[in-house]
Amino acid sequence: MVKVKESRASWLASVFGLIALYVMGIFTPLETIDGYLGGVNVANLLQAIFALLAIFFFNDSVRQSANVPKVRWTYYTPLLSIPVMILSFALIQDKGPTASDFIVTHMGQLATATYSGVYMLALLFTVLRIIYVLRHKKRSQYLTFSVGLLVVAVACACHIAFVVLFHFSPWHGFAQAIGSWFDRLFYAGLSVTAAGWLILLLSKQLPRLRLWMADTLWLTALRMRVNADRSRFTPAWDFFNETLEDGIYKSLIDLHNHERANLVTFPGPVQSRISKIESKLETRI
Amino acid sequence: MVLPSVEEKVRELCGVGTTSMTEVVEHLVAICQKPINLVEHDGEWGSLTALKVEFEDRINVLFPPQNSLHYKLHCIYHELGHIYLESLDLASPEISQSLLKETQNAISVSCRHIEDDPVERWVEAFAFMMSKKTRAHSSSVLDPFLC
Repeated sequence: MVKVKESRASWLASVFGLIALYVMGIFTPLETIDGYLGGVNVANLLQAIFALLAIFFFNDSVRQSANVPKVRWTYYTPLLSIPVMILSFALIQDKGPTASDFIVTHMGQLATATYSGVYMLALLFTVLRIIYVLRHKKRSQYLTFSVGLLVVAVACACHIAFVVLFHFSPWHGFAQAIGSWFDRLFYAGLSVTAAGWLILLLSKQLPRLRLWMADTLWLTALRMRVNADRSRFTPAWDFFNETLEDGIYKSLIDLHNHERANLVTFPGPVQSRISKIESKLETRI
Repeated sequence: MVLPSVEEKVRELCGVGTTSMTEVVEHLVAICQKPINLVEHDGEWGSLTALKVEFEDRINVLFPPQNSLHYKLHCIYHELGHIYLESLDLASPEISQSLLKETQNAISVSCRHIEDDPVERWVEAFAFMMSKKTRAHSSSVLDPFLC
């Protein structure tokens, strides 16, 4: 497992994504999961919330990877939709029994239209924001990724069109025809996005990992071996919590501190390896 | 005493992006309105890593010779962090004026810090952040202060 600070958001996105898939009934039948929650389609609400959180953290991971600073209001806006979704879901009448087509069968109610519409608007907003964040990045590297996201955005737009047309117009058939595109486009878009993300990850992270991973592990082990920190957990924490370069730097400072504080010097081969790592850090950029 | 966010204060001191120790010292000189001298002192240091001494007309940052440039920069940045924090009037000097008077003509002084002192944590975080910004700046070209 490779864990650097900027990948924390990716891990959170993955965890929430997996929970969303679980609640969808991929591993356990939907009826069983929803049964534990009262059998009134609360699973549908949880699935929407976890999917939204997954895409929110994915957005954060992309933002960090592209070195884009947080702009607070646009950053947190999608999360505001969660209380609105909970409230509108609570207002839906006759929510049971558990059904995978719960949204379509209850679309006649304004509360359902609000719940589903707000969820899709939040998804669309987040996806468009990611595309916007990447607008200045190298097109070739981000092309697959952005195309995938664009397809997801189209899928969300289809669902919003379905909600609006079904609820506010008499053209239910037309609305359902547009809405039926959601699943196909959404999952195709997500697949292309995932492939694009993998391409990016491999092209960006592999050279860094090859350059630093062995040194990071060696320095972490050395810190643990010589008890350079007050707690034995600190080196492991730094390994998981810091970026590779920052982790290396922190370990080096920590080891030098250990030498000064205890008035000791490491044996020749250890010194020599530390110096080599330091010179690599100096010529990194 | 509530200390400000290190990230914010570093940004105020030298903006976003990269910097060098020369630039940081220049900014601090302007803030403190007295020269700051970085002096490599070849003597007995024990476990000390750097020392800041402030006079009426100047501030000296003393540091021992080190094989590691990174460590040397880090220790100096730590002391520069103290200078910066004290200039913000948020943290008093480690040894106050009245205590300094008591140490006049002393042949040895030692002091005790509370463990995990917030000021020490702040200046250490400052040193980490500044070193990062310096690393991103120079690397192949050594800082002129330390050449």
